[in-house]
Amino acid sequence: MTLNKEGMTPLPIEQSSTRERLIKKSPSVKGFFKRESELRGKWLIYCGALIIIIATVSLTLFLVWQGLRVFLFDGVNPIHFLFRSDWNPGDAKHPTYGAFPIIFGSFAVTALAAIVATPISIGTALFMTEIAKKWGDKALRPVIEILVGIPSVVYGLIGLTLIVPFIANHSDSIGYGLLPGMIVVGMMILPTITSIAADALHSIPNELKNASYALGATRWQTIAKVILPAALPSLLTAVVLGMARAFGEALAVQMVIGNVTTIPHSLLEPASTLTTIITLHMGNTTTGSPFNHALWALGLVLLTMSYIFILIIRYLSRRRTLS
Amino acid sequence: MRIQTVNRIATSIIILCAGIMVTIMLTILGYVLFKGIRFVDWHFITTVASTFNVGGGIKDQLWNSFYLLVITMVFTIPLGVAGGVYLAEYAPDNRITAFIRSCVEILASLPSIVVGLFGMLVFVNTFHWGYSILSGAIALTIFNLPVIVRVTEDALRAVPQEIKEASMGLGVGQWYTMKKVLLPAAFPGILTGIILSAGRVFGESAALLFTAGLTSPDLDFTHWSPFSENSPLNIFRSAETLSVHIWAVNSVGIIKDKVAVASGSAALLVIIILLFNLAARGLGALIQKRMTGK
Amino acid sequence: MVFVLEQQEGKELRELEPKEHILNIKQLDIYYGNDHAVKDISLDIEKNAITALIGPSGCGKSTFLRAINRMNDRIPGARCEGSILYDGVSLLDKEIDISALRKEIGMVFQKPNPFPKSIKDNITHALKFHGITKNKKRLKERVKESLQQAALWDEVSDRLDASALSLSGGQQQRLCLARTLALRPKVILLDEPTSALDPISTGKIESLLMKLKKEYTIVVVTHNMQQAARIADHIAFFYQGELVEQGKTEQMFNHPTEKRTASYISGQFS
Repeated sequence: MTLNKEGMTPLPIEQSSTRERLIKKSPSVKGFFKRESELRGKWLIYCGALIIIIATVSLTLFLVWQGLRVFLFDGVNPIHFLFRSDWNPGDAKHPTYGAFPIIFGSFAVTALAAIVATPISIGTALFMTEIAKKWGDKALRPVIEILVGIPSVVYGLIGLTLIVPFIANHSDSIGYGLLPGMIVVGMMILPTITSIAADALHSIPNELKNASYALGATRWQTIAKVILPAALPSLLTAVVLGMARAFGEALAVQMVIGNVTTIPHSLLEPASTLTTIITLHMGNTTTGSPFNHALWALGLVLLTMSYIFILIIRYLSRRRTLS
Repeated sequence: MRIQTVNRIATSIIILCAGIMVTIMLTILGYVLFKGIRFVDWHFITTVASTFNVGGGIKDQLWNSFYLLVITMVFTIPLGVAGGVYLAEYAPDNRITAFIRSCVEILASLPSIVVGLFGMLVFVNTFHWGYSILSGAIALTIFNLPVIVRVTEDALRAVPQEIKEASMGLGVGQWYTMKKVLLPAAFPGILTGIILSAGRVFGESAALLFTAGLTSPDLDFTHWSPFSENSPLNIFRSAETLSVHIWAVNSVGIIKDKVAVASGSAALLVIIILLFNLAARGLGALIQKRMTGK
Repeated sequence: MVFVLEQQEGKELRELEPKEHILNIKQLDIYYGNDHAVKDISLDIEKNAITALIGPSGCGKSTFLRAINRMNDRIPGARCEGSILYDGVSLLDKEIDISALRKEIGMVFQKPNPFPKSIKDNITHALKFHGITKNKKRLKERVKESLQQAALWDEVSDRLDASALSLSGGQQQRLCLARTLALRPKVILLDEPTSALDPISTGKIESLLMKLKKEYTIVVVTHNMQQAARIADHIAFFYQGELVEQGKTEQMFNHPTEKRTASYISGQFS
């Protein structure tokens, strides 16, 4: 096999020229500033990547530090802050910092919105992928895109001018409260859940479905017994992403929820969320005051929850790749 | 027999869900456009907003929205494209790359108000830029960066690997290949993504409340020096945008005709964003068509 | 054995025109992770001749070809051992400027892969990168010259600014050849250049290669035995990562010494 290893006529080799052409030249400083410099391009790209890191890390650190001030410097007990319901940081003599109703409000709006939006979203995704396979996707993608594109203040305005008066007219409440918050945020997360759910259902292999149909199962049996279980981790991811969006939504909720810092006892009572209290007061409190610091602490709760949502999504996607 | 009934009922419910979805979209669009469009006229667009009186327009807010969008894009596009190029082409398979991916994921899922708070803390308070276009633009950049990074990475990954090999096979360097072959080939996809994200930036409000502010100085549209106090181009002045205006007139405003102003602004905002969406689709398809010569 | 045979046969020939080898590959091993893709291959490539690498798919011939201009470098986990001497310079050295190397040893791929740009830009792309010329007139001359060499000029001279993707598959492949030729390489490596083309386009490429060998050294990977027989001066038969046999074309086809070669050439397996 090693045919030509020895015994061949030695080659006349002109070492110098070929070697000169092919050996790397040492990079010069001048070369870096040349327009087509490979090195400069690489630096540019690495700077872009670096800035992404800097932005994320500094955002997290700054907000964590600022959010801890109320506990470190103003002597507020974090347990009191998280679990007591006496939010009155503006009181001149006896400010109190029990933020539980606000945190509760955020979770309530998020959960209610998810409860409203999930069935409609997954139903729509099933329609796109299982019922109207040929045209469903084409027809509903633009609908989803339009819903995604509508700014949150517009959703808020619709809540304020359409939903709140409607509720006020048809009940003995003032209209502002959890219910319109739930409807507005529910509408806002519909497109998020639907598009991810539709992608998840699309990626279920056809063989799986056909096997079920071949056994004589009806469409609903196939959906309920085969398709939904197979897509479950992805569908959960879709719902969690929707909830993350709902938890962080600010202005639309602020416009309809009523912004009262007590725990609501029904859907018709006004409430408040982390974002709405921050939006309302952040601009009006003096920088450095305990009230201001308390608002940053609310921001820290918001940030922490965002990270928890991210961790949940990671956990779900790891489970998805494992199965 | 019963199984068939269940099947029929379930199917109907699924169809109903899709129906609800379409109805919601149509209701929102119809409501916003029909309610608001009658307030939108030349006077509305070209008159400054009023603090107390009826009959104010949205001239400055409209200008601010577009100006802020442009400044944001000036920051976001180079950074986002660089990040996307890094992840698609340069990233070695190691921990740093995994960390950058996590960062993009985190930035993408942070609520916009959190980004706004960060902007307030660092740019408005610490750097003493105050409520300004620059602070707002940087907040929006952080908000929009992950979108452009992902769009760029996806578009680059969709370019056939053979084209890259062809260029590298001719001895052409990685950066030159990227600049002259891969990025141009991915351009339609990136452009579509950028325009779509521009619509998102245009409608964003929560990130701007505490960075660009709720007010604008009286803009002097005859005075274009970027350093003058009330020049439209000054990036150190506060700037209320159209979407922030919609929130502000309802939540903190005292004008009597707030319904008219808010509805008109909302209709205009939605129309502009729909135009962005149409432009994104149209332009992307057009360039694609031109490039393939078919 | 084979070696002895060749030496005896080639004796008179060598006296008439002394052969020169531009590439000497010695004991080359290539691994993809744990996969030993190319096993201990030694092969000399003759200057200004066509060498065809044949063998069933997956036999390592493409991997071997790509190693010559270091196209495997970017594949994670790929490893190369042994030596490839090009005009006496070891190509596997760290010192080698890959860009300069690929300019001298060009490559044409299996699937026509023009850049989604104009026909002209396809050719000037690499010229500009290597800084060969910025002069517009000289660039234009280079474009014309290389398109003529690739027998494409007459078909496209009136639409140099049209997208390369508007060309037919065969034209695209000749354009890919032209942009390699524009760099005036010494060696051209072709990886199954006609496998995606129709018979007429294949014929054009083949006659083109026959012409080009006067000026260039050509190494072509092919799975098409007839093609190898038509165009190659030398043939190397690869099987399962090993070089089973190599020699002059007539000898390989008429008197293969290895049984595996004989059965592959007669079409008993592929």
